[in-house]
Amino acid sequence: MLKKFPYLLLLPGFTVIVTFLLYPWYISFIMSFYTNSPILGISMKPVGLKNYVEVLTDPLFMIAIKNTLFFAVPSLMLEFILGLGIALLYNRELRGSRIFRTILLLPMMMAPVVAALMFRLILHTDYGILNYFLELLGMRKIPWLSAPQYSIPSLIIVEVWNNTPFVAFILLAGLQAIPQSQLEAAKIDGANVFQTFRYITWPWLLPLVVIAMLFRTVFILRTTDFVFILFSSITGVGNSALLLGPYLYYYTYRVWDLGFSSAISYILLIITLAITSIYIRYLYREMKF
Amino acid sequence: MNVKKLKKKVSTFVIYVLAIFVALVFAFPILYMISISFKRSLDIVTWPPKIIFFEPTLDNWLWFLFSADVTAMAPQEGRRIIEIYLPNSIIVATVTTLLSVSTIILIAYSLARFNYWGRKPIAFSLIVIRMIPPVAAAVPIYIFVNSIGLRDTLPGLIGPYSAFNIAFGTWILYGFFKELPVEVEESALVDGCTRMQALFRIILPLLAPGLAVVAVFSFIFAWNDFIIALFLTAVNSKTMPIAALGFYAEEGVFWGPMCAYGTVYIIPTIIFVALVQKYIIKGLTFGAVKG
Repeated sequence: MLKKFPYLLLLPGFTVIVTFLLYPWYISFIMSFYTNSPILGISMKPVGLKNYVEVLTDPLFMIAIKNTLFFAVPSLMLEFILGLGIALLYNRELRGSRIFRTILLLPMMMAPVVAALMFRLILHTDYGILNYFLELLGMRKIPWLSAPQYSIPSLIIVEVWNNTPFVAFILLAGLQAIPQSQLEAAKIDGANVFQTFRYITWPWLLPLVVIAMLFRTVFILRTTDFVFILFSSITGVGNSALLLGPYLYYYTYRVWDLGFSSAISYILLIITLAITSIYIRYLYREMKF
Repeated sequence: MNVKKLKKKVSTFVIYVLAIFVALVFAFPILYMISISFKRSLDIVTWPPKIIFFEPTLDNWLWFLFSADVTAMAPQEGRRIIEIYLPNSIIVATVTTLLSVSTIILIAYSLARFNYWGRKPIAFSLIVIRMIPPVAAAVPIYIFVNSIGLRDTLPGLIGPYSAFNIAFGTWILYGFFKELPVEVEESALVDGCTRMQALFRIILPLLAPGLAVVAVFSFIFAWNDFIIALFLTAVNSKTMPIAALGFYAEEGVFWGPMCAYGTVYIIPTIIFVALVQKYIIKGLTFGAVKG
């Protein structure tokens, strides 16, 4: 009995996970080798790797990959730079720091849907507040959401607003864990601000930078909601905002072939796991099980 | 000496200005949305924008509560959101939270306090499951939920949400478990408690912050999810995020009602974040740092 006890504790939770995640993945894996469209009245026919080949040779898929990269890389860089800056700023002893920090927590927990709604208005060409500020600075109005070349920058703005606080908070927690004695010793030894940062702060911060940035990488690949709400279309103007997430949705409801969509899901899964394997390996080393 | 003092004063001033500026940038969109929910539709689409000075109106909120004839009628009825979408979301998020937290307690307890064959791979599999983006899981879940006839029902949403939350939340609670000395539990066992009694009477009260964080994360995941709901809901089980798609029509966007909707939508998030803000970061880093 006592030997089985820890396994019994796992049972309820894993039943849910197996039923609603692992088993669906299993069916979907099988299905990705078939063509199957109950809606169009096509019954299951085995097609081998055809679905995978079709996805990988689809020009739209390449556009989605390209857009996702152009969206994700600058967003992550900005989130890191701004996050670090904010963390250093809020790490000082400020009056009202509790209020500052609570405000900073809000965007992070905000529904992406609502974040996108607000920015739809803020980024509006004719009466959006961002263009208003730009005009005050003597710049021209920018058609953020209606011109294809601004689709990705608009997505980056929303993404950075929504998720920089997450990076800032993790780094802030790291900054506060640095022992005061080390900082004081550096001061006594006559180190300047940059030397202190380079030789004391940064080494302490690095593991948290890795955690924060890899978390963000995982989550940014799944961006879908922003596109739907900002552009009220799946692809943006002329596919300019077609990311991997919307691509999957587009095909599921356009082609109505569950085999084909399953193949896309697996490709997405493999991409995510490949990128996060660095993170997973890092966690496996660092976490004490 | 005086120059040094002045220099310090200036730098303190600059730091405060920066700190307030950052807070404003992150708070602004939220405040702006709330203020627009009280604006007349004409005041929303003016140039230059009326940021602070405008004539407040309750039209958008009345539309929500009564769907009465107000200036800005969105294509979908406000009352539908209050009567169907909102209760759906509350039920889904609450049941998901209860189901997730109760199963997470058992798994985290098992992983943190027992040593058995397969423990490490099991713990590890949860991280991998947690990495799966909901987008990529949407089609498999859709196929499965459809096949068992749960499409467009609330249980059809609760199941997948709980599965994601269990994988995520176990790690959060595990981080809190690690910090709790084993001796607390052992002394309870010596005093004659059974393992389950020790867990529920001694350990869980001590883990309250961790449980609160897990509960808030579970709730917010279910509350915020858009993509799985988009695949799985049709008529009866639509949740709050899906309502966001209903404010566009040929004539344009119904900003006023949309902002009233957005304000209602974020209220629980704000309350919960304020309640557990002290522990959120600790939870997010799996206890790697104390937040």
